[in-house]
Amino acid sequence: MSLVRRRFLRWLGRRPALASATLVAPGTLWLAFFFVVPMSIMLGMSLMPRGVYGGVEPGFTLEHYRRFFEPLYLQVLLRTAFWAALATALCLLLGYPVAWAMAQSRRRGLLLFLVVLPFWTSFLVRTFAMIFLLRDTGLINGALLGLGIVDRPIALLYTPFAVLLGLVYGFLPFMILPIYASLEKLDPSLLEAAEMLGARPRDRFFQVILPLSMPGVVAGSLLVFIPALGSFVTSDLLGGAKQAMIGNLVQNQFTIARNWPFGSAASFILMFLVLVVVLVARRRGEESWR
Amino acid sequence: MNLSRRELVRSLAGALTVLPGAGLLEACGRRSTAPPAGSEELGPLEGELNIYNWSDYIAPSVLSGFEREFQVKVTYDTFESSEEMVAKLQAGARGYDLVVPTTYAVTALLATGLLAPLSKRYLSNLGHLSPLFRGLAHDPADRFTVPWQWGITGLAWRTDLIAKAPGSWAVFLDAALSGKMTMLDDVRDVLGAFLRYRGQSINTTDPSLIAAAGRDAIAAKANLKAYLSAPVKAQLIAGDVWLAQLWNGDAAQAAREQPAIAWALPSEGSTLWIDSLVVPAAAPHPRAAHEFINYVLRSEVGAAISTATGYGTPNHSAMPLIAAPVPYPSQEALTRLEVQKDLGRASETWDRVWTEVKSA
Repeated sequence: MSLVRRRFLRWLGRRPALASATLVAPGTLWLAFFFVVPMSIMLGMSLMPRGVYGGVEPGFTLEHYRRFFEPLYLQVLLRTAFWAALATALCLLLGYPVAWAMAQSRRRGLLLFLVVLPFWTSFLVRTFAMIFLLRDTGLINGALLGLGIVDRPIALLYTPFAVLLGLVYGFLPFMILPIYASLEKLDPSLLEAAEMLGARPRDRFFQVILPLSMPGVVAGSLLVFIPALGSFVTSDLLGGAKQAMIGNLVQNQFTIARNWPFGSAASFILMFLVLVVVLVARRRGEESWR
Repeated sequence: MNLSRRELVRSLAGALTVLPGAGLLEACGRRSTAPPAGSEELGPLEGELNIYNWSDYIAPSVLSGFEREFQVKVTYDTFESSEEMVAKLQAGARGYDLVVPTTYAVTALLATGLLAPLSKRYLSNLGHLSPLFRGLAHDPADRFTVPWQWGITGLAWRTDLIAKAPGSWAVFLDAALSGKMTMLDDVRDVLGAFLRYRGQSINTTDPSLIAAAGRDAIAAKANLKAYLSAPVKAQLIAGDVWLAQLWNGDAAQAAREQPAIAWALPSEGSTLWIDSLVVPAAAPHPRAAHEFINYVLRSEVGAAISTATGYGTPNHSAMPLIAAPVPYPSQEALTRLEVQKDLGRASETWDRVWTEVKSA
């Protein structure tokens, strides 16, 4: 048995193209079936007229793509992009020092474990838990009232602030981990060299550390920005469904408005925009690397 | 012709039957040779039953009682909005034997051929139903539906926190209670309330009337804490929310924990809804579904459900067994109540206005 296997592997080893094809095939088939096929169905649907009771009717139309560029929907998109960008910036400001501290610490394993710990609970459950913190009769307002800092509860839940808080809270680990990964690899002798050559701490950070950790910053920003752009649970639960984001719009087309073609078209436009952002970010990341 | 995704997927699956194993998939869908849902004569009682119902809309004892008596294992799933349920069924969700759509959702499910006609021979308790709930517009010949519960969308409020009882939908346009009020997260209920406020039908397809209701909704949004459906009960009880657009039964459920919660029908009128039991055409256990329908039509079971939900029962013989039954709406109230109808093509206009409200 092992002889046969060894012979087969040797035979395969002489045919690198076939060997790599064998390795790549399962993943490719998986993607083809569970990614390309559903996407093709959605693409086809986005080009067909809407069925009155859901679904689509046979035919061809670009109406759904045109409709997305009406001011109403563009405004939702712009606001969502603004929220996602703000959440990304806040995650970066909060996450970078944490990643740095982790990379410097001797208890990296423990800190890494603590950052990943929230993932043990579902995002939905954690978002629900935020409601208990933020509501008028919740922990924060209870403490503020109890300490006499305010005399009536301040509105925290169902505000834009709550949505932003939920996004930052939910996606912060995605920012910390890639930055930590690039800071961990940082060679300390580079910092010593910079110091000996007279670089002040400020310069050491902006001239040496930040450029070297840029790939982590770019990866982390993408990992926060993209899911934030498509999120809809946070704005529903913490925004009280008052602040529609583009994810809510798409979700509504499928669940409530019975307009699958428009929902599909909006998804494709969103995907295209994300692709542009990724390409731009990648180019920026490469530039800073040089 | 209406090509739904379900049909697209099915034709795709058909193209794949050349693959070994695809036939197996087909076999899993229907193991036995029992007649499918919709046949006059159904097969023997199956061992399982899958129910898909609104949340907080049954007495748990009803499920366990049915399981014990019929030796059927019940799987119970819930949804929060009618549209969510219709979309799930239209997207090809199979496996449900009983679903509880509201009036206009029945129309959408019938139009897409997703429902099976009921077989009356298994429903010996149909006579318990009040004639008020038979021959309704969404199922004039009573072929597909058996009424489950009915209710009214109105105003729930905390009598201990609000001095004056709100009597009109205009309360949402008044800044006096700004930040303490919620409306349902439902396009039909929110725009419907302002259509009634303007003396219009909740089923209008006139774009200018829908737009006017949308402008009212945007004005009201500034005073709203949030759009919340069933979850608002906890916040009314806690006192985070003082006044909410809510269904009468959910208000009654909340009042059990916080007696200061009252409910009223606004003077301009509102929505009367009737939810029905239906059997999907693809139901894998149609006989068990029928037995369950007949079971809930028993007087004592119908009474247990209404006692738990706080909603009205369509079961006339169950009424005397309920401690505080919801009375059938009076003639005077009926003139102010409307049943929701499917909006057809106008639903796109409604959705556009709703998006305007949500993004305002």
